[in-house]
Amino acid sequence: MSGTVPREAVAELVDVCGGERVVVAPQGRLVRAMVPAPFPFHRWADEAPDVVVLPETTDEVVAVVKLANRLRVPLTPRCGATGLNDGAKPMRGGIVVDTKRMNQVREIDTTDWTVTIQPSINMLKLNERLQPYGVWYPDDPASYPVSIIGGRIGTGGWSLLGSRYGHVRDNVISMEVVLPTGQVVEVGQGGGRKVRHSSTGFRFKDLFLGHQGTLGIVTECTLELYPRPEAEFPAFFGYESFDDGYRAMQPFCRSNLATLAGVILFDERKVAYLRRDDEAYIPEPASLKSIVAVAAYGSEGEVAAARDRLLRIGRETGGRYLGEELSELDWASRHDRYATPLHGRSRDRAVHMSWHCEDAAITYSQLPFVKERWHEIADRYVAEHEIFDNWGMFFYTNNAYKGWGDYLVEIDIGVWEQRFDEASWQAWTRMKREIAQVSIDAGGSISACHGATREGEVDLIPVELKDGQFDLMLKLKRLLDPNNVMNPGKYLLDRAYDEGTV
Amino acid sequence: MTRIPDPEGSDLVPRDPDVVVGGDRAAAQAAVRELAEGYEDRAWGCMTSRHKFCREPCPVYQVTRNEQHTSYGFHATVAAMSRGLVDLEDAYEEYAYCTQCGACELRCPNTLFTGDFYRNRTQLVQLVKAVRAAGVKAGVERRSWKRWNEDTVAYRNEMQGDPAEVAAWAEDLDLPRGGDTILFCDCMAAYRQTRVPRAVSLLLREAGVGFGLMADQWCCGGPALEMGYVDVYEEFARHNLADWRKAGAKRIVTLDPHDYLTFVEEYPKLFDDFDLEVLHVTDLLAELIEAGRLQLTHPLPVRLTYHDPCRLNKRRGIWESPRGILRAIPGLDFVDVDHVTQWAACSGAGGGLPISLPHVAEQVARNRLDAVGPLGVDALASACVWAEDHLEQVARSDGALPVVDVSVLAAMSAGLLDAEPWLEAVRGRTAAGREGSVSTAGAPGAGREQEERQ
Amino acid sequence: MTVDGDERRLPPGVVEDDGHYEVDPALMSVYPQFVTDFEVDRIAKGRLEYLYWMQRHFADRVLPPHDE
Repeated sequence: MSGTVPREAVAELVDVCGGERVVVAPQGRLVRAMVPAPFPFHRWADEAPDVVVLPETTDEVVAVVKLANRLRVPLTPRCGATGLNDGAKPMRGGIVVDTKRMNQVREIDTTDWTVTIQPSINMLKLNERLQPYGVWYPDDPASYPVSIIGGRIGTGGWSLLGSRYGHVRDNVISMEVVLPTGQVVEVGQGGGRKVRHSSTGFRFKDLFLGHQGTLGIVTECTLELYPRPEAEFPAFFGYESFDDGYRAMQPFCRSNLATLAGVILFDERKVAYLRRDDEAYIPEPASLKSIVAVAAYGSEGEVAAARDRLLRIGRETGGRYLGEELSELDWASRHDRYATPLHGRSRDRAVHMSWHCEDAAITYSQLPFVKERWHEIADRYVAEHEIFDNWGMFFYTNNAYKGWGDYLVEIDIGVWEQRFDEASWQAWTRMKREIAQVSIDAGGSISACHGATREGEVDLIPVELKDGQFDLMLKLKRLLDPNNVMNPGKYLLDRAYDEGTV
Repeated sequence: MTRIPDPEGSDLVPRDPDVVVGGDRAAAQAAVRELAEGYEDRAWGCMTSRHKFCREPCPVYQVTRNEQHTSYGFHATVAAMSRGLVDLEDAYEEYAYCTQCGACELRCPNTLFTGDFYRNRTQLVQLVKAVRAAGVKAGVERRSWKRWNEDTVAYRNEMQGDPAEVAAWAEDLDLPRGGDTILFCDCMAAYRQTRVPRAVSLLLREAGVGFGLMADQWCCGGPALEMGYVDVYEEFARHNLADWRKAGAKRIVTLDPHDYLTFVEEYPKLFDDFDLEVLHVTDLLAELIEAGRLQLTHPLPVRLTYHDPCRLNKRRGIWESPRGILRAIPGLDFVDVDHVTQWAACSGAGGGLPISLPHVAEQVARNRLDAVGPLGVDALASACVWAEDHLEQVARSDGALPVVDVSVLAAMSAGLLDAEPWLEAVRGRTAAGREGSVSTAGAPGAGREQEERQ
Repeated sequence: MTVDGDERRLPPGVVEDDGHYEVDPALMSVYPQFVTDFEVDRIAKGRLEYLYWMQRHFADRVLPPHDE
């Protein structure tokens, strides 16, 4: 939606960042119109932002935000842009503030065990830098080699190793945020940048973890450090039905092993999908219908003890250990796990499909209900439209430091984007909405970790958050962003500016 | 669909003055149609994914942090061109931001996890070459590349060296011409990094491997192809093949990875009847050492690390033989950085980058040298004269870390080249705490002046 | 091949070539892309090298499923 940035604004951007860091070329704008979530390519031209700027310092970000306020120009922060919801997708054209040049490490503190960085560093790269000190920052999503810490903060991300090391919100200690007015604030646990737990004043940090770039731009953050794991033990167990796998999951999750990092349950549709084109699974017998994967990290003695207990639980629950090679290599690939386009099958032909990854947070007791409903929905749309494919489901431990409670529930839908037109895009958003509604019906949450800004589900935000939370969101948005310049339109937050709502 | 409109004020953002738009719109549009035919599907193969795992390992992206300069950005731009949303005149300038190192192709999960299953992989290097060539064909090109390739045609080599002197490095070595094994010398090695071909010649002779030089060596043509100058490449390739045929060659030995890659990947595409064996010198030397036909007995008491040339490691999977050579040298304290970590490494010398974007190429080299810093080494070894030359030049203004080719090290350890001057220079620099600008092995003319074993 | 009477056969749409699995080319609807045997080997090798590299990145040791 171009045409929202006046000449004056471009002139000021060039003043602030220099001509080399302002992008007006059409390709530079088009490549930043989307993120990996399914995108309406038939409307690509309409979705392009007007201009892109690449700041390097907090001062430059402040200057850009202030000029956007003064001139009433929409801006969308863009960090990694590898997220699976539409947080970084500009909805009103305007300026994309691409922060990837803000990638300096400010300080590695080997006494108080923190690392302070500008936000645009990738976790794998950061951990390579930290390795000589024997420490690491343990945030491990499927996008570990590519996603960027600023984006992880913006989306409130989930880590594969969360049951052992916590998630993003547990490992970001404090941050410097540029508010939508240009004011710079430090948020954390009170005023001490490296304090992990305090009761001084209000706790604002959580507000800026998962706000999808609607409440400000992170320009610096201080992160938790852990000792580098001495040892790892991954194990995959096969079961002859989803029910067996689902029941087996519980003793693993309740094993209360301090080193247990994660438990993943694969349903029978996921196993069938893997057997279609994953070398490791093709030779597996037809009786393999469900899988439970577990992994432990920590000191060698602890992990060895955890290993023995996990293997015993596997045996006692009737699981078949799938072997060292599969366990080790499939687990290693999970730090790096995105769907490849040619896994798409449309009426049996392999076609390039993009990946929708649903990510509800659902309690253990509701998992079978959600599974049944989601497959019914997905299969119905797959039967009716050649552009969709159902790639099965995963269930991952979601609770920080614990294996029980709630689970990140994922259904993977292939989408043949090249074939989108307005009618099929609408069918897609209808499917998305039906899927999200099930999460609410199950007493869960639409999004465990991606964010729920996607078309189709975003309309359900006021439904899920009906008990006062959406109302609070509107109040806070209006308070912090009086001119509605920061990622406007996201999360239905425009309603904050309707007369009479606030 | 039509090209998306520019925002107001777009004239305030300067364009790259190196890019000239000649030709006409029709030619540019025809070029885009041809590109779309060949590459639109491939572009969608990347676009439907857009997870951007290609990003962090990309040496140019590491400098610019601009997602236009990644495999994703290059593919997305082709997809946009195919839909008419971007013109070739706009897009062309981005495609210089690539050394064609191959990191993204290796690393892309679509390739890494399922490329073999689908016999379908990310082919970014071909895409970049195709867009550059489309530009040249349509009259959209870079002044710097145009000039460079005109000079290469005029001089028959990339060093603007007197073509009559292309074998002058071998003057006193009494090497034959022709035969069934031809040693292809590479332009940089022939005119500047002359220690390398001298070292290789001495080693092969010592090991009893018969070889000859070409009657009239021209540049391999690879760089011209990388920059989009297809006609130049074809002219050079035809000349070289004719020379080899006339010489009765059955086998070509290359001492630089750029040549190796061109002969192994590109010549067979151009010539249906290309039946020559192409062997890279590191593989050959490692074999000879293993077989005992070369004895590396002189110790070289230096602490060094090895830079994997992109076109050997990433493009062709050759990373073992150079390390085999280094490990055979007595006294060498070889600090290895594994070849997978080095998927993300690059000298910045390839793909025409130092010609079109010297400040970016310099920063890529600085990043490479910075990564070496913490290893506490006295020297950096590699197996690519272009990487070595570029790194050496950048190192001169920043610590002056000695850069040396593995074949020169092997020749010194085999007693075929006098190691003392080099060892002294390395020691002297280390003792001086990395102050001063000690001349490094392979500096211009140095190769000719070194004493050799009698 | 059978294990305890449990049949292991190739899933539909998959062919085997000398221990190496591929999608049935008849299913491929995208542009035919000829990827050479050299490249196929390099991809398979690269994958293993990469996964072991990733293991080492995360932990100093991966324990086997039994005491050593």
